[in-house]
Amino acid sequence: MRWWQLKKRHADLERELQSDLELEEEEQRENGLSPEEARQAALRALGNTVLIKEQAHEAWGWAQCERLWQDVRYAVRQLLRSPGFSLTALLTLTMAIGANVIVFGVANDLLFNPLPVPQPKQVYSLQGKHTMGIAFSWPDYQDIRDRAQAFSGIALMRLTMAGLSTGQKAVPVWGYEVSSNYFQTLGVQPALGRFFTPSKEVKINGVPDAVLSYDCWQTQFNGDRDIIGKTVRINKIPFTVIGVAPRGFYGTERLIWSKIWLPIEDEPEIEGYNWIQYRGNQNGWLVGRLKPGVTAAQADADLANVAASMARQYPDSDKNLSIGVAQPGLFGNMIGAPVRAFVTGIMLMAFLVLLAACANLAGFFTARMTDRAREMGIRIAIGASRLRLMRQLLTESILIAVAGGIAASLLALLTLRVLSAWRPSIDFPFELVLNPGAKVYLFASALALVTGLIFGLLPARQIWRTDPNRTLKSGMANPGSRRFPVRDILLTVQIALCCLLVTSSFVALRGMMRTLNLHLGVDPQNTTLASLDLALAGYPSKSAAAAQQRMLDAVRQIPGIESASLSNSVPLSINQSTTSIFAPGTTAFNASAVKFRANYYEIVPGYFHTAGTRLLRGRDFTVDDNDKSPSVAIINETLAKQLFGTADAVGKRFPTDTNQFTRIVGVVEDGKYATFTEDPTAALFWPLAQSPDTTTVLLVRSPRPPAEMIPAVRRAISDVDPAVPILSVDTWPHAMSFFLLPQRAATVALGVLGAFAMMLALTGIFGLASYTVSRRMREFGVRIALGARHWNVLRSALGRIFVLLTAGAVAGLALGFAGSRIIAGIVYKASAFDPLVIVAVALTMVGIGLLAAFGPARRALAAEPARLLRED
Amino acid sequence: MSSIKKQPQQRAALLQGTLDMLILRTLLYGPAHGHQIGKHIQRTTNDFLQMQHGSLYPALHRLERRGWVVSKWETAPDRNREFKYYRLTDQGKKQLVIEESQWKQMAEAVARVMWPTAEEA
Repeated sequence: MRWWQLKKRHADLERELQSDLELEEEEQRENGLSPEEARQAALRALGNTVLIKEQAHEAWGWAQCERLWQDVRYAVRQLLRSPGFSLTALLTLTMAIGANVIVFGVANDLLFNPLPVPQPKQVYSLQGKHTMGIAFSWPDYQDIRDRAQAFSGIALMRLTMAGLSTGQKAVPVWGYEVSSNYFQTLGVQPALGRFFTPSKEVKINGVPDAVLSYDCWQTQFNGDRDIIGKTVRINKIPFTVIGVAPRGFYGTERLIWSKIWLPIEDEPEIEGYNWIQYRGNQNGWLVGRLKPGVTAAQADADLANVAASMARQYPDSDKNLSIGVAQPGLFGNMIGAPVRAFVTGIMLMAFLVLLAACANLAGFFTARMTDRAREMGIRIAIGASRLRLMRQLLTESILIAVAGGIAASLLALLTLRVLSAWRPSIDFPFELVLNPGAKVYLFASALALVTGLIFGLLPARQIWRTDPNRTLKSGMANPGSRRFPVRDILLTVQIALCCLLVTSSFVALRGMMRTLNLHLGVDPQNTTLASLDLALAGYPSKSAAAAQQRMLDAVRQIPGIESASLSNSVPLSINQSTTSIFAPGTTAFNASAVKFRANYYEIVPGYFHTAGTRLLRGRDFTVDDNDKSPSVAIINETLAKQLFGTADAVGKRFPTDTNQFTRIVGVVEDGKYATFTEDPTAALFWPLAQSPDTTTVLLVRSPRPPAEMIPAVRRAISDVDPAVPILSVDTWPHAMSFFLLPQRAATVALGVLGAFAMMLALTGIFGLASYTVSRRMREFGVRIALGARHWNVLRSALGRIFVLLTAGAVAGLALGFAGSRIIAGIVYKASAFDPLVIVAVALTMVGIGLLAAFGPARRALAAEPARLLRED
Repeated sequence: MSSIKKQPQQRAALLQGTLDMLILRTLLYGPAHGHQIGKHIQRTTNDFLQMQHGSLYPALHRLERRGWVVSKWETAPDRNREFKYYRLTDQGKKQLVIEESQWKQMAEAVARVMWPTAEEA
């Protein structure tokens, strides 16, 4: 029986009943009754036709669906009758659900998505357990690999940038130098060709094989099917392409999408210096696959044993070695832990906003329910079951929730696409591929349904308590018999959540402000940076110096600049290096004798002037400080104090190796080098002439606008050597902004959520206030007629609401204090115990209260007693 | 309000179970339309089971939905009019057998309680 045949069925039944009636009539007339009486008798014999039709209708089986459809149509009509309410509810829900879906989408990609390897749960990063270090040296790696029992394979990888060229021009690509067992350990299969042959032998510079990523193969080589066996040049050195990685495989770090994999054996010729033979050069990241059945805890214990045995065997370099496992993907625990904490925090906040929205909507729906009390009373009186009524009300709320969910999904889709396309302007292969998969949409649907149920059930409760008798008589719902009606509790909860989010936003903002005012030790304003790596163009270190000087001269020719300088790296950029500092009097130069580590930079004379770093004592480098003159260095105040105990270190010497000393010629001010939030750190500056490097950063200080400077710098560099790939040209503040990214992201996210929560609180208070006022207009009229002053009327009307507001605000502030710890992990120096924050929050909440209550307050005061007392 | 509604429902529920069986049995003789079925049941029970014809029709439609009977508008053999005739299907015949045996079992059980034989007493 198909539902479109129902109409026909009804006609059919009608016909059937009609024929039965006629037959009955005939029989009755045969029995001797008059036509009139026969008809009556026939009708009596047949029974209640309406009931028959109804029961037959039930029997046809579509009654349930029909009733549901009826409910839906009725709900739509009801919602369309109050468009303002419906639209507000829809918007509120869309944004609340949308926020949750977006956050979930990002979290899904950053945290939950499994690594692109088979059995990803078995793959772990190996890191220092008690130190912050995540890098190991090659000899150490070999020992770990051989001694560890818990792993079926451990591989080493080293992030590197390489100049890939097939023709003349080199394209900079990010890739990994890996041990030969890398692909075997991870278990991926090649899409084309083969991978490196796993072998314990190491043939330095003897394996000229390269593996391309799928993406690289498609974009750089147009998906050339004959790519296997072709020669490509890496830093001008010929390599043979032996394979292509499978689609979607990018390595084991989520933030780095590698384009190429090269054997670690070739590291000396790729990077220009040999570090893999030294146990002290920690440059590689380790990743391992657990043996089946081994747990992470067992692996940890195993690695601790390995570390202990290595520390015994190599006390010079491995004395403090500690190894453990960590979740792979976000540089292990280095940024993994804070990122996870942050994302979890944001998810929680978004969920709180959703709860607040639910509370808001529940309040609105409850108010509507009381307005329809009379209708409900009538319905119950004529026989509707309470269950049926509840179902119909739930249909309304679920309808809005579903509509909100759909709108939210669209919004989320759009936002995630936009986020995907965003690239921070730094030379990092950071790809946020946010493909909202089915999981995300499922999440959205589930959220929508649950939300609809939550804020639908609350007002539906009222139906159970509706007594038809009383509602029909008085036209009002049951008077509240409880001290704290549900609506009040809902409003308080909303206010508390809003206040919590507002507090968090202000805390984050304040932290941001403090961060921006930090003493950086450099003056990035009006400075353009150009970073390049001459090694990518095939320059060996020796001839790089000449090219660097030519570029510096070219840049200095640009009209309108104040000064220009050159170094291998600048503070607060990606490329930071540290070196070991030994105390004066050190005889054995090994790992155990290291006093501390310092950041180092290789600079040309004039660098401090361009960078804006103050020279406190001594002098800057000159052209006389070159590879023929004695070794000199400039240090910062912290290093001076740490090494010599005083900032007055000019003229002192410190050892770098047996019978090799460096003389200090100057002391500069402290600054920030690796992160914004570090404690004062030691820094050391070498003259580039004595310590050549192919990595180059050109600094150009000029009052001219960046739009002119950036192309001018590019041209100057290309004029010197067009084949050198320029990694990036950007203003220094913009390049630095990447480091502020987590704090920026936190502040923006909290700000958006806070603003949204404020909106919710506003509408919530406004709704409750206007509702209360409209219900009690008569009372206000009487009061005013009796001579009440404005203040009295307002107090009676809105007093309760302001009490709730205060209670909620205090609760929210308290929660905000507790939650500020999490924020402090991301945003530097964020603390809620800041009088500015507390005052700001208090003002905001008061402001919200006043704004929301303004309209209803005016209405209450404008009550005309004469008119109101006449009306009903 | 609700209690008044319940009574005819209860009576209808009692009759409903056996009504299906009676209808199926009646149709075993051959096809018939609603009026005829009602008259037949009334006649054969000597007017004991007096029910309003009305309750037949929902039952018939229910049986049709279950697939135990099929219906068709046909001209009556003796008159020039069309009636909706119901026929038993094979499934209906099977169902009749099932319900018959269930009814018999229940009747036996009731009889044993009501009129226990000498050994069981």
